[in-house]
Amino acid sequence: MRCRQASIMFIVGLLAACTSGTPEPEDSASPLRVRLMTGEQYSNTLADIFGADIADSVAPPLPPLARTDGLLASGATYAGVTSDQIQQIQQAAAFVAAKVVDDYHRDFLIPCEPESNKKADATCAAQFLRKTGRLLYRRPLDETRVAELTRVADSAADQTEDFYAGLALALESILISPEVIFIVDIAEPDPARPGQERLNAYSLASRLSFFLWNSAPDDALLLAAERGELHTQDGLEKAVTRLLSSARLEDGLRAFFDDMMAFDEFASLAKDPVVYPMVTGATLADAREQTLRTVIDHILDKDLDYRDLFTTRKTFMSMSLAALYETPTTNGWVAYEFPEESNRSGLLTQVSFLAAHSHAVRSSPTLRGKALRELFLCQKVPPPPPDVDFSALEDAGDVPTARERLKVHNSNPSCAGCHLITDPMGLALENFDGAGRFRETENGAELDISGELDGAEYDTVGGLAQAMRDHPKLPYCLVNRLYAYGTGGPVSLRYDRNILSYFEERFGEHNYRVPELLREIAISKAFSRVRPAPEAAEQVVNGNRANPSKLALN
Amino acid sequence: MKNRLSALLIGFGITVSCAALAEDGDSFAPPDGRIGYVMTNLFWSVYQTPDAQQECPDGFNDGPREQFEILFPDPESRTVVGTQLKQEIETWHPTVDPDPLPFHYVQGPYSYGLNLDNEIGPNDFTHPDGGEGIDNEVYRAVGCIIGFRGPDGVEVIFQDKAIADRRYNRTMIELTGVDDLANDDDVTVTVYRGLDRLLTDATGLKVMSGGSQRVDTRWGARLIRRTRGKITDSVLTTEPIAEAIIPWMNLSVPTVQLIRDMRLQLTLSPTDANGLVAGYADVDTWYKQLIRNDSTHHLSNGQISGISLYKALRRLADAYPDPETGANTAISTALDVKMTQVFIVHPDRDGNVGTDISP
Repeated sequence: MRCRQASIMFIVGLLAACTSGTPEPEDSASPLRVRLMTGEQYSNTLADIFGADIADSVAPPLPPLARTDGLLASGATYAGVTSDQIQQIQQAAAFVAAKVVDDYHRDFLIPCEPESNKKADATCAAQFLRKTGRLLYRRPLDETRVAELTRVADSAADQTEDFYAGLALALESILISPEVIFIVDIAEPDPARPGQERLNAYSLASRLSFFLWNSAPDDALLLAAERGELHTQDGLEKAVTRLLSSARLEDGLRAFFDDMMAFDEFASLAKDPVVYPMVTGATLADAREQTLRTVIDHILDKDLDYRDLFTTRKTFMSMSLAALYETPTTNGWVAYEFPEESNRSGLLTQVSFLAAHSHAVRSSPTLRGKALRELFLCQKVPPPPPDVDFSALEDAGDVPTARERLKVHNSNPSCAGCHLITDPMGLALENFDGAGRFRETENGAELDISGELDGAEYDTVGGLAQAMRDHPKLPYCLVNRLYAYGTGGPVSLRYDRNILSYFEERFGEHNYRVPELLREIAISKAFSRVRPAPEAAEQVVNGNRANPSKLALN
Repeated sequence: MKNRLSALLIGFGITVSCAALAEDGDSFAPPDGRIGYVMTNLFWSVYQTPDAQQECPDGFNDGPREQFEILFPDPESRTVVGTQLKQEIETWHPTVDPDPLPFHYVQGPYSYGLNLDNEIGPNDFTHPDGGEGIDNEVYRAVGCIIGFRGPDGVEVIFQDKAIADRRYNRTMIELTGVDDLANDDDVTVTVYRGLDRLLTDATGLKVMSGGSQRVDTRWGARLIRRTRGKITDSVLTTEPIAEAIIPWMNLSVPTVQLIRDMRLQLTLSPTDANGLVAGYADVDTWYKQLIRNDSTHHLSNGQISGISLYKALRRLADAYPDPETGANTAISTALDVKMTQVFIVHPDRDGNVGTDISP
């Protein structure tokens, strides 16, 4: 798989080199940010450094994030931790540290053996802490810090008469460090732009790694940073190509699309078992997984046009989902293609979208239309007015279909405005009930699923899928979200308009292949150049500067 | 493999909702003339009246505890070897020697079941719906044992639960060549063993139609049996299967039932198939299943004396005489069965519906 991806990247790279497009805007840059590591990033980092068994043995102690401008990841830049959460982080750190040094792990996680298990060994402790600390801090530790941590390990070993207990305490102190838990962008003067700044090499390494792998940089990437390679065009492209060719790219893309499609909602999603007896927790979990598998297969494994995700009939099937789709399958996940006559094509007709954006007991054209616009087109649907009167909707009388219920509701002018931008496309999905199961009728009445999406009219679900696929905002929205995700915070319509247009154009030139878009973003100047915050511009000095945080470094 | 399977499933073209198409008794043509059902409940058919006076006027049978008190009344003279071990040995090595204790057979005239021998004899029951010649001697043996009586009998409870919980017990039938699920004078019925868990609702208790089951072509291959049948007014009646093995795990102990001349009588709908499995149960297999699945603790709970029951079964056995001794080795029986529609997946058929693995 890696070879295949590498070949694809190489060929696409050659094609890209032959394409003459608009150059990247000269003033492109992104802001410095301090962002809280997400729970998944915390787990992935532990798994990559210490192994999946240790990562899986502890629940990520990080708080939930507020969705900001369409992404939880963008909320991370506004998140802090409370004293209670610090306590949880400390407990997790102690648990992880104890695991790392226990009898089952120490032989392959600790690169040396102490002279005696019952007393301090500064040499061995320093060796471990220097190596592991570099991966956790995502930069090398200076020797002062190594000595400080070694003293912690030695002191604890002397008190407990246990070398490994001492080492665990020092490791715990690393794991609770704010510099580990927070991803801190550090700037340095940009030699190519006097008076301007760029990310330092280690911050750039972290930004690249969390963007593409959703995890901390590995040894090779830190080495590239250490050698200054990430600040050369060749070195950066080489590093990005390696990241894109890695199997870990799938982890990164799954995390991004899970975030973009608001799949965190599945954590609290439930259906009324009386109305939808076939929908269980396993069904919903599989629905989420089905869509992620579809996305990864389409954009990564097959490297196809992103827009075709909204019309493709190819997906994957599991046993609990197959019942909802009314089709046979075998055990495990298997590739599946919906028959042409099945009315299923594209992500909008998958259970994940249909069920997540419905009520517990019925479908909701409004929720589906709203989700379609906000998740995939980056449009904002205003919330209902606080004094909205739902009685007309709830007590619509003897009307069998959602279209008729909403018609009654929308007789209220204050409701009609917003519903006009959500309901026409949501009503096109009324052939699927609140669990995502196909239906010909609702309450015995034939369903009218005609509608229009921003000028494109249709009278079938396939028509909506095609209209979505051809919507000009569809690729723009992905560019917007990916750039925000990669740079750690929401885009600025004031500053980022040109760079987003540039990426959108490049995306089109690459026939909407997502891996190439990732590469364009990762190697762009905007990704590594720092845009000073207006109020902080005057603070730039001739040394490293952190974002307005008060974090102590080293 | 992924593509192959995908093509296979698409080839089936089974993408319509069976449930949405027809109600009981309505005409319904299954896609590709094929519909599968998976067993969700199976237990010996026991006709019960509310106070049991009709079928058990002398009351219910004693179990191991009650018999122990009768057989060994003097606590002072009891020894482990002479009491518990003696009874345990006889339970595991039963004989047809005369039973020193009374045994209550069913005495009522009625029973569920089928007329297996197409005769109406003096020992036959009458069906509650009036049908005569019902052969069900297992009922005559177990009908007055509380462990076999529903809904709370220990055997009933455990067996129902085991069928749902244990994939070992996954038995399915597939009907092919079905033009109309309400009436078709010639359909093929194949019995398979499945491999997968049942699809249930969120409570985990109600089995839902529309699940998928893979055919066990490895260990289950020898359980695959095919017969023909006809459907009249939504009732399927099959010709006998000479010898059918039904996997029967209970309380985590795997065993089987062996039914000779097994036939099915099922009321079909697009989502369910309910009715009877009937035939002649091999007595020794029947008994072995009971005592392998149930310890004396469970037998005591259901007042089931294995020792007495074995003697009764042998005494009532009414078919398949041993060529040497002349003693019948099989006993007529009927089992209540409930099945739910399922998509049966033949993994090695490679899209070719016509090349079943059936014998």
